[in-house]
Amino acid sequence: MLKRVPSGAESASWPAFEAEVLPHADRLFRLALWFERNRTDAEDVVQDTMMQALRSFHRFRPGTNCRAWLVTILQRVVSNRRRSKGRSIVVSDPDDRLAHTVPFVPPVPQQLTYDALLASLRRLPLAFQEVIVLCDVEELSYKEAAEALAIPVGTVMSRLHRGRAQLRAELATAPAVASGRVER
Amino acid sequence: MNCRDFRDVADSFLSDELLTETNHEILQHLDTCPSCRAEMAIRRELRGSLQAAFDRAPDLQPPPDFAARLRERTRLAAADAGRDGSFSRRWLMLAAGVLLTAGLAGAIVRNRVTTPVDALARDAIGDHWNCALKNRKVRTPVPLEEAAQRFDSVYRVLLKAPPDEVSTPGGPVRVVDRHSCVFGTRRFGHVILEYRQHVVSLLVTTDDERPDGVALPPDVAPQLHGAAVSGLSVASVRGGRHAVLLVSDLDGRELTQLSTTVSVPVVNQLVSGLTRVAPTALATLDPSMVLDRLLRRGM
Repeated sequence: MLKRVPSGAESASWPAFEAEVLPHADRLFRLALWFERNRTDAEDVVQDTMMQALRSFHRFRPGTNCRAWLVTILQRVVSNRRRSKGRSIVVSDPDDRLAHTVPFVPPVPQQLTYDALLASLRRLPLAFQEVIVLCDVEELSYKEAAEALAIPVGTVMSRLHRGRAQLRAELATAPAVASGRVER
Repeated sequence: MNCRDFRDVADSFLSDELLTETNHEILQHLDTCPSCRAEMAIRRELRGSLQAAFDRAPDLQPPPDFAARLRERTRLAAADAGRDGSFSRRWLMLAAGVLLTAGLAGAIVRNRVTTPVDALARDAIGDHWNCALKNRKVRTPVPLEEAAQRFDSVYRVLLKAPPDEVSTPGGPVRVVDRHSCVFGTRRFGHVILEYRQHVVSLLVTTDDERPDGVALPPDVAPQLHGAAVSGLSVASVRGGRHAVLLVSDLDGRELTQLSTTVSVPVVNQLVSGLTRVAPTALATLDPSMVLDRLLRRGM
C-alpha cells in the first residue's frame, strides 16, 4: 500500500489548479512545440508538465509568476526527454563563437513576416533560442530563465546579448516580403 | 551615458532588469539621442513581433480541443488522487506491474498475435497494450464528445457509462481515463479502469459481424475470446451495431464476471440509444442468422 504523500493533486485543490494553471496550456504547447518540433511530442511534454505541476501544486506560492513556474517544469521535462533519447545538446560555447561575427547591429527589415522571423530564430544555436524564447517571448526574468535552464544568470545575459545580435544579423538577410504585408 | 553604454543595456532596460538609477540615465540619454531612440524602437518592435509570431503563427497553434482534453485528464487525475493518494505514481506502478507479470518482451502488434482470436479481439488487445499499458499512441486520443460528433455518436455513452466507480463482488472498479483512440485502422471508445491493482480496458467499437443495417438485441452474457494472448484475455458483449470488449490480465473466469457487471450495462445503454428496428427490417431478417445468434448466446 502506498504511503499517502501530501500532494497538490487532491480534489480540494482542483479549483485553484484549474483557475491558476490550466489557462497556460496553449502557451505551454507553443513553447513545447518550438523545442520538440513535433506536435505529438509537444502534447506529451505539456501533459507531463501538467501532471508534475498537479503533484507539486502545494509548493506553488499564489501571487508569484505561475507561468515561470510552469516553464521551469516544462524545461525539466524537455531536458529529461532529451537525455532519455540520447540527444546530448553540445553547446560549443556559442558566446565565444559569436564574438567575432557580429561587429555591428544590422537594421531589422521593414517588412517582416512571422514565418521569416521564426525561421531566423530557428537558425540560431539552440542555447540562444532557449534564452530568447524564455526572456523575450515568455517574458521570464533573467533569474527565472536561469532557474528554468539550470544555468547562471550571467550566462543567460551573455547568451541573450549574443543571441539577439545574431538574430538581427539573420533577419538582415531574410527574404523581402513581395506583398508588402507585415504581420506584426 | 554614451551610445555604446546605452546599446549594452538597452535590452535589459526593456526587460525591466535594471536599477532605477540606470533607468533614469537611459531615459536622459534617449531624450538627447535620436539614433538611440530609433534603436530602442527597433528593439521594442522586434520583441513585440517575436511574441506576436509565437501567439499567431499557424504552425505553432495547439489543436482546438487541446486545452479541453488536458483539462479533462488532469481533472480525472486530481479526482483519483483525491480518493486514494498520488495518482500518477500509483497508475505507473499498476501499469508497470502488469507489464512485468504479463512477460511481454516486445510490443503486441497485430502481426505478432499467434493464437486464434478473431480480428476484433486482437485489435482490442493491441489497443489495451499500446494505449493503456504502454501509453504509446500513434495518434493523439480524442475526447469522447468530439469523437461522438466526428465518428460515432455512441461514444457519448462512455462519458457516463460505466460510472466513475462500480461495486463488484471482487472489489470496486474505478475509472482512470475516458477517450477515443485508434489501433491499426480501428477506432475505439476507450475507458481505462482499475480493478484490484489490475489495469482493465473497456473498449467500444463497431461490430464487424453485424448484418448490414440491422441492429441486433444485446447479448445477455459475455463471451470469452479464445485463449489468453501473452497473459491478456478478452471478453466481449455484442449488441446493436457495436461490441463492448473488456481486456485485462485477469483470468478468463474473473474477466467474464467483471464483464457481466461492467460491460453488459454499457451495451444495454448503447442499444437503448438506437432507433427501434422498423417492422419492415424485421421482416427481412434472415431467421437462420437470428437463430445462430441465439445459439451463440447459449439460449
